[in-house]
Amino acid sequence: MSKLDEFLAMDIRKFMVLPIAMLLVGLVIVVTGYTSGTLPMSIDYKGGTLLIAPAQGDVENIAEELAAELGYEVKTRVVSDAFGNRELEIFINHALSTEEMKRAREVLSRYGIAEDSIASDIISPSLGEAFFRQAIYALLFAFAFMAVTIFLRFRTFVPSFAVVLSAFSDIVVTLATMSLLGIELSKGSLLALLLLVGYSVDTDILLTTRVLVHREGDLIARIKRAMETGLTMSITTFTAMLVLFLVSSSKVLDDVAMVIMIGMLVDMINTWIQNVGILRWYVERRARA
Amino acid sequence: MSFEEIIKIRRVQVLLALVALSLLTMYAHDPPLSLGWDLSGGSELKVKTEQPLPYVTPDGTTVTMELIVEIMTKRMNGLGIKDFSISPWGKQYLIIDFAGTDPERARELVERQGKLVVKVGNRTAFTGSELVRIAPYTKSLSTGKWEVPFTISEDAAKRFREVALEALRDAGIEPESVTDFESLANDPRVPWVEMYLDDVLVNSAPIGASLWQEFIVAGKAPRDLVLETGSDEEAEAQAKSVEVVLRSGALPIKLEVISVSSVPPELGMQFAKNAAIAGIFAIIAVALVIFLRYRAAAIVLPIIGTGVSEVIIILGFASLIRWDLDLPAIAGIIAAVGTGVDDQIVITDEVLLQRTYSMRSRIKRAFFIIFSAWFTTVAAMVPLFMIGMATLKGFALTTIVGVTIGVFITRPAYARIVEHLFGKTKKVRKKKGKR
Repeated sequence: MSKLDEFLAMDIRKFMVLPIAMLLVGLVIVVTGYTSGTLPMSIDYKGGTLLIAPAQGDVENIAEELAAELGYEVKTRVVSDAFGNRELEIFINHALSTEEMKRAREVLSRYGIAEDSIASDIISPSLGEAFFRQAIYALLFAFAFMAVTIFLRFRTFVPSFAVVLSAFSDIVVTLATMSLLGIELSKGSLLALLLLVGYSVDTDILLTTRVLVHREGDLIARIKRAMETGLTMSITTFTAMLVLFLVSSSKVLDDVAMVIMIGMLVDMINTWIQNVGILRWYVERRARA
Repeated sequence: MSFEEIIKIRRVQVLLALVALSLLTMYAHDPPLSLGWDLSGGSELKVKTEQPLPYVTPDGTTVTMELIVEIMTKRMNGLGIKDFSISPWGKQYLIIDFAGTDPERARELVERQGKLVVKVGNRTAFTGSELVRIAPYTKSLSTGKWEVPFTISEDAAKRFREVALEALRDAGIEPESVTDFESLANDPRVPWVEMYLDDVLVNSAPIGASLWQEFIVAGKAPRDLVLETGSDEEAEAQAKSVEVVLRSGALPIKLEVISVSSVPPELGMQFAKNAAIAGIFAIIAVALVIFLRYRAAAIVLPIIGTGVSEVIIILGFASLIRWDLDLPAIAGIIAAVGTGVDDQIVITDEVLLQRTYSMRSRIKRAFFIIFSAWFTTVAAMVPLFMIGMATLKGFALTTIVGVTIGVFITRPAYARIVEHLFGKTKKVRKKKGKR
């Protein structure tokens, strides 16, 4: 018997504790993080300045010197891509004015960073807030539209609900994991969460269709085949994102890749334990009735 | 199963034709793809209007998003700025992208006031700052002609009269000798009123008979003026354009720059290059995973082949409609191709693992799953259009276009290839899943 068969032979319902606990803990983290404002947010949503410049030589003191010059909180981070390009990311907790930007450039030029090699992103807090509100709407609407489509497609409550619950849990747990790992909510990670809505339901749709719509063989065999297909799907997506993360040097694409990788792992648990558990219960109960 | 036989499948021919067409489209365009400011280098400004639009100013002007966009566009054109785009977002924001413009310059372009000078025969009559009020263009009830009423300051009005009379004398006409004002207005020797925006001539119009009469007979310099353009549709467009030009000196509402983003061309190129390389490596990695699962090159090649075709067709489409590819759009392409590979795995497994069914029904079953996934993806992306920030729009568009091309063109082609590869041979392959 393969590992998969052994796994499926077990009573999956007792594993349901894992996804349920995950969802509950995730909800607590996200809700408290949201209400207390401690969810890590990028300057896209809280306003501020991000400067990106090629990092050459010693850049350690830049943060300190910029903070002294501008009087704002400054953080720096060096990121490198697969080709050895190193970039210095500078986060400043204030939307710099044209004049302040000039002073910042002067400081950087002392470190040999040419003025025209600096990428900048300056966002006022009010705009950040507007973007954040929009991000929330985008996520809620995308989710709601997806949910309606699922219910229209399968037309039975429990299985449709299971798909939607799995997608919901994917997003909540991914958000919570991001928060724990300090991954910021940004333009890129928002795109990733939206993609996750799509990817997450793909495997659930596959499972539900194989189990409920195309019925042949026994239940376990159907689940097993769905699992083989679904895991291949998730693994290819995960692999592609891992490559993107390693190769790309853009913050937007890095964020997308990182969040989808987390989401894929979360989705495996939600689809193959939670959703399978619910469907097994549903099918067995229906068989008895 | 030979390569020649696969080529003969109609669905595959359609796919190949589209790939060829896409390549041709890209080849015909220069540059093949237009890259967004975050990849080609440039700046993006986000601007907030003082009031939500539409807004009626105290002097009765209705300020709309369209008006602001038009004024800004005219201003940029006047300054010779070519690669820019202005898109409204919601009721109070504008997003302005500049390709190849550094952020300080971009900010200056948006914040500066346009320099409007109105001349008659090379002499300055008045400037934009002397315009007291500009009314929206309307169709006059009395004359039935399109017109733009506006008011200038007293000094400007006097100067306008003097300059007009001097221009008349320059043309060899003594103002006092004129009796027929209708023919004076149509006299080709008489110079027209010319409007210059940042030293570029943008509009001109003759001085009307009634105004000449006031200037010469009554000796008056009226402050309230009307610029008539005519009664046809073209005249309406012209009146609209005149209003925009008059307003371009000072915007009817205050704008505040609330965000400035910029990417230097070198860094943008590096992003684009890395994304392309990441794409190639991702394809290789995915091919490897698929090979590990199926252990058959006959499956890996069509999956990767159709995946690559899909990217080419999406890019061809982007090239055709001159869609600016930015980083979010690239994320959309990645999403579409990722979904594509997932769907092809579904097709492959239905075909390989459900051997008790006819080939047709196996394919049909695969497409039930694929269409369900497609519905949900499109449903999730459509609201992003309505919410409509530029970032989300580009992403949503490429995702929707990508998955739709996938569902209707590339997936069916792949299905037919798999059908041909595994449908005709009765030989049952080693059962999958036993490891």
